[in-house]
Amino acid sequence: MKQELKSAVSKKVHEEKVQNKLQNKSKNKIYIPAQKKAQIEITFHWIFVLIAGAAILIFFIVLTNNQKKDSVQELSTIIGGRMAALLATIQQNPDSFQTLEMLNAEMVFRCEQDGHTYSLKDGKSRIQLETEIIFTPQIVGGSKPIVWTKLYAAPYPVTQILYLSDEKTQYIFIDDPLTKPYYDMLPVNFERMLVVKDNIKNITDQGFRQYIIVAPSYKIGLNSLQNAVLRKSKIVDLSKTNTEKKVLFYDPNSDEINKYQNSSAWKPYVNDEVLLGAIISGDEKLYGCTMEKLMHTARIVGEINLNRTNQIANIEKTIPECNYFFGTGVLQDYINITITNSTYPTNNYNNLNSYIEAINTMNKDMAKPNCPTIY
Amino acid sequence: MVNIKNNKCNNNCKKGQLQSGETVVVIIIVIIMIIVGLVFFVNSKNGSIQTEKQNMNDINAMKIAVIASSLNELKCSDSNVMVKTCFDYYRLKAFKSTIDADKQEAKQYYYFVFKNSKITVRIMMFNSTVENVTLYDYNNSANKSSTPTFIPILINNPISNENYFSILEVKTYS
Repeated sequence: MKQELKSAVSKKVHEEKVQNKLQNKSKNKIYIPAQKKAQIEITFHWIFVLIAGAAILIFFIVLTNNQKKDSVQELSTIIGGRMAALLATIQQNPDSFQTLEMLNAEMVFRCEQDGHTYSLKDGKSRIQLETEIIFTPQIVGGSKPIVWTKLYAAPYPVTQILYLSDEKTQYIFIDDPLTKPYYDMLPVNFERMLVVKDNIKNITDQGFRQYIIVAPSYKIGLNSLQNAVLRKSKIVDLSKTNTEKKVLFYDPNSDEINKYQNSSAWKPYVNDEVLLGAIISGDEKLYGCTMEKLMHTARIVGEINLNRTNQIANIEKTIPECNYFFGTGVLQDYINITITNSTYPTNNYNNLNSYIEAINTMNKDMAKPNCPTIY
Repeated sequence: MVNIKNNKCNNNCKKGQLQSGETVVVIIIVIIMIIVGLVFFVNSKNGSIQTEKQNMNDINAMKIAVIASSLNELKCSDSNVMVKTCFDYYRLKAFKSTIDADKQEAKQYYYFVFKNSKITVRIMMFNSTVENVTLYDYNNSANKSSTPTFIPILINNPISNENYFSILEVKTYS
């Protein structure tokens, strides 16, 4: 009995020791009740979901942004390509006028170090206008574009000049003998207005993007125009058109007002077709870019005409009636001088114009004895 | 209840593991669907780009053909009146020799106009011979295939005052 009691006690002691051991073990470990474990698990579960969800959301936002940029780029390329083809085709119709379909996008024309270019307003890629003879204001679009072509001759046909504007650009002519002829030349579909000098102060902003004011002097525009119109204006001064055949592009919002006092601010033009281009663009840089290309084209076409004249001269100089024109070399000299004087920038085109007139006179004289004419 | 002695989980533990695994699998499936969608989108975009490129090539070919047939430096004229769809025979020769001699950087100028293309005038002379005048020929692209456009043109000889039928062939290399 004593032994049985002893073994029962030792068993109990052993069990207690085991239980104590268990309690000590559980004291050393972090003991979390089952309910709290589930709560933490759910919290981590939600944190994990939030992180994954945020990652997917950010991914889609980045994708959408990139897609938006790419679609603008794509639109810019497509419009640019279509516009280039359209303008090239329209340009082949001399002395024509067209109003095109509504152009929702705005195109910006620039003349900078990379040359004469245009692009969509929000687009990055720029399309080069390498050989296109096109006079435009700085921005065209957001309305119906207006296209007009006229032949530039020197005096043989050189190329079609393309004038591109739109319904959001208004041409305000200050009534004067210098400006009125050009107001009459401009097709009625252009947004144009003839204003008497005394009524300049009454010109109000009618929501056009730009106003190009054609004035007998830029000072007339400055003193009288309302600020709302002046802010969006550029002035084309025709005061020297009768004397020196030069035009001034005045920007009333420019920081360099003093530069307009220099004689170098006045830019020469060859004839009325080119002056119309100056009026349509209203911008000195864009005018300069187009003039350089026009003069280069004129030189190349001049070389072709000179070459043709030499070929014909070899055959026709033996004919007495045509000997004066082809045998003396006078015609070739005139064409050579015309080629040499077709440059931009230059001081003036007086020499060019006088030899253009000389070739024109000679061409008429050649037609009388039935000699092959230059053009 | 945890049986520490045997260190085994009972059903509750397995349920928790299954639930976490479920979330992970759902996210993996979503990512796979997104990837499949993106691949499909990129492929369709590629197709539309190829179509647009072909359209642009066709437009370009037509543009060059229209410009070539309308060049003022080739047109015949009578008393300062230009005649449409008529080229002057001596202007053709002069045009070719001006480009060949690269006068006034003519080669570069006409490259900007005609790009990679070949422009030929096939003149049917009266004695049944055909005179070919290649006005422009340049191709620096790897692609040698071309899209030809044919335009009938009249050729006038201003000295003999004879007219010849001819075909203006414009090949553009895309």
